[in-house]
Amino acid sequence: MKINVLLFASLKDIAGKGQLEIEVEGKCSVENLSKKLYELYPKVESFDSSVRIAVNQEFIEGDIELKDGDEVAYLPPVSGG
Amino acid sequence: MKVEITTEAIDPTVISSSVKNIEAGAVLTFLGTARKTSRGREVTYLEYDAYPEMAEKKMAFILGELKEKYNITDGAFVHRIGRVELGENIVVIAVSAPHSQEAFDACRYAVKRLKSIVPIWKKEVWADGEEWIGYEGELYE
Repeated sequence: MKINVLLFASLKDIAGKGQLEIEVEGKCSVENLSKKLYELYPKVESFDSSVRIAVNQEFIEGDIELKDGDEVAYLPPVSGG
Repeated sequence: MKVEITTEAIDPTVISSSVKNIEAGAVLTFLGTARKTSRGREVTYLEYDAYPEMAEKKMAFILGELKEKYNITDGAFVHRIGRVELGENIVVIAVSAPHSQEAFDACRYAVKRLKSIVPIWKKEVWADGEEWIGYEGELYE
């Protein structure tokens, strides 16, 4: 299945893009997806403890199973205003 | 209740007027603007990034909270993104409420919630560098 990954602010700068598609085999949780993302962009992992994750535009707590076509966003600490 | 993420300049007077109604005796508008000095450094300009769809959802959620907690009769929440020059408007939060106290409390709460749950990010650009800023104050989760 395909997961649509979104990166913002500092994470977007590291990856050089704000959007990518990650293809996964069989079942995949957010944690599994993060591992794949960190393999592609090792420096993104250093932000892991401060980054919040949103699935389909809602913050998640802990780990959840993903489904085909889900949109997973990696959000550094926000600083609007 | 209006929410918007925009790359265009924001006019606070238009937004402020839009929340007036005869149930309200108070209209309060918070206007956030781009400041020259930040943590001892001179800013050249600011750059905002956002997750626009989710940001607008969260802004609408906050206006809903204001209605529930502070009894506001209407509210509008507009945030600019992209490049913002010094002195330009960044964010407008306008609320109307029966009485001034509720309007003040609502605006103060909305600003804190903006800095806690709305996916918008500020980059400060100086003459010799730049940095994405993370909010360092107390979070209102």
